[in-house]
Amino acid sequence: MKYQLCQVSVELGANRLVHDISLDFRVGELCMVVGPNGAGKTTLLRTLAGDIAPATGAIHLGQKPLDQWTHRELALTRAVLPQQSSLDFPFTVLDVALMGRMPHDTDPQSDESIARKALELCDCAHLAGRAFPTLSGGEQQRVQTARVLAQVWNEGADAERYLLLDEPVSALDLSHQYRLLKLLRGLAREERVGVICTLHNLNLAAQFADRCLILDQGRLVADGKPAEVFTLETLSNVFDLDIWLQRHPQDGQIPLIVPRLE
Amino acid sequence: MISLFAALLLAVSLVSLGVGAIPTGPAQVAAALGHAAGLVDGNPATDNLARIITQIRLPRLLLGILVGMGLAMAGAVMQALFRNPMADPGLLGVSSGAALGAVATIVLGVSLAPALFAFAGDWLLPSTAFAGGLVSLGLVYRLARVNYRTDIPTMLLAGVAVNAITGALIGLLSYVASDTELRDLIFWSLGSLEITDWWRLALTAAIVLPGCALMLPHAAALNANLLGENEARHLGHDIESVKLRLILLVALVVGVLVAVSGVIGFVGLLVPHLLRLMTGPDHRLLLPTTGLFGATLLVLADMVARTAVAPAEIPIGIITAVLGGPFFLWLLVRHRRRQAA
Repeated sequence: MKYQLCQVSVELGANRLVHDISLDFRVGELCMVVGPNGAGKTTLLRTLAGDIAPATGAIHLGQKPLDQWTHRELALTRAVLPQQSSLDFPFTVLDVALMGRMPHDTDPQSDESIARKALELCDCAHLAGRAFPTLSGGEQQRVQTARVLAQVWNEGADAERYLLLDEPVSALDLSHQYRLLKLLRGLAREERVGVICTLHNLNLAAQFADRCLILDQGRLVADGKPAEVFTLETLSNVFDLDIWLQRHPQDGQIPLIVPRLE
Repeated sequence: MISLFAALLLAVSLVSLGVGAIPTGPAQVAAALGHAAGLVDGNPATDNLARIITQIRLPRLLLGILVGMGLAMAGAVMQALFRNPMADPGLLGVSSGAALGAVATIVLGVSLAPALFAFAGDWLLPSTAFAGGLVSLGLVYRLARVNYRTDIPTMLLAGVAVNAITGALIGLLSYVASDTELRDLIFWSLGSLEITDWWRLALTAAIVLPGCALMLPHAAALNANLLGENEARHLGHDIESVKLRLILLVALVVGVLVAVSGVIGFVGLLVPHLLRLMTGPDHRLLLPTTGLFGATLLVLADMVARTAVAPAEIPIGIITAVLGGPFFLWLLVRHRRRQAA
């Protein structure tokens, strides 16, 4: 089951935010979308999620156009983590993770055990009884991630799912960033989940992504394995920065990107 | 938990039947109810008292239950729709919009279309109140939503503006109103549970009870909506149609209640808050308990209204405002402290 964008352009008012992008996403792949602020990463993700209708072009999930899926069918097939979620009501952390089980018909006991496992994977098990609004920004982000994990959780069943995440590590400390990306890579490789994730940290993308998309001013600049697309020329141009491109000392392969000293 | 709140409502209701300008013992209440149900034969000595209980206090009690339940549940639903614990039918102008509809019908309806008013007044008032409430709610909701989020200052200011406009128009209408109409208008601005007409009570119940019941199945969608509208859709809810249905239900319930009992403020704000402290924010539990506790609270408030200065009566809207005003201030202070922290 492919997730396909076909010549998609997105406009907001008079601004064209995404220019004529065609892409195929597959399950089993961890795909990272990188690019400078305002490049259209979030717009692309929200268009994929169905939040924004494209001005031109078509989006397909499997055989059907995205807008012909029912809300519930879609909720069973893919989960979306937005960049920011505000929740001012005192739900417990476990309640929030359990919301991910809403579309499913599983019994309450297994829902709770799945929600708890998802929290455990995001290192939030110890927060289960806390009120969500009292958590720190990073903790809230981890709990929301656990919610979408619980939504794509499919114990035993052999279904293809997609997980769309908009900057899921923006508020996380270094170790939680690595834990989450390892987790996402595991989901893609072992659970038949297609993971599409926007990210600012190029080194993380280089280390974990199966595939990287570079966006700039709404256009797709590069699409391929990180080692192929992260070139000195592309990155310096796109980010307008004098960078220093190295290979990771441990394996000599993975690109390592650092700004040059002035 | 739900049965506990139901038992509380039942107990308070029974007590309230025995309280009034003429104190009545539990035995007399039981006898009157039994008599009304045809279980007990009439006794001339207690007939008068029985009539007070079954024809004055009982309809008033039932109306109080409807008003408390309807306003409290409408408040809980609005807070979830706006994703903001400070939304309330009174503050955001739904009640005053409904009041404007009703007042306009009383003042203009009688002079412009007396035949229609005489013929369909019972239906006309709730209908115009519903329309007024719907327009206000739609307006505030549209204004307050900025980029898929509810902008709190805009929401409250839009409510202030709608209240000011409807207040001005109601003022204008009362200026041109006749003396008898004026008395009715004052009743609207303060709220009252006085009702002796079983037909009007039945009509109110026939709209408010199904209206409240139809809110319940959307509890899960409201929970998801607290995360955000897109998030609710991603969790499988058709949030656009849920929103539309709930806005219509809120306007309908509030409109009908305002048409029959006037503007009774703060119930929709206060009750869901108290309940969230007791039961948590999950609407599957919050909505039914809010309805039951709202009814209980209003019956209690009406007991105070009837007895505090007996044989005279304080308008119940004044009592809910005396309770609710300081509560709202406390909420604002707490909200500011939280944002500062």
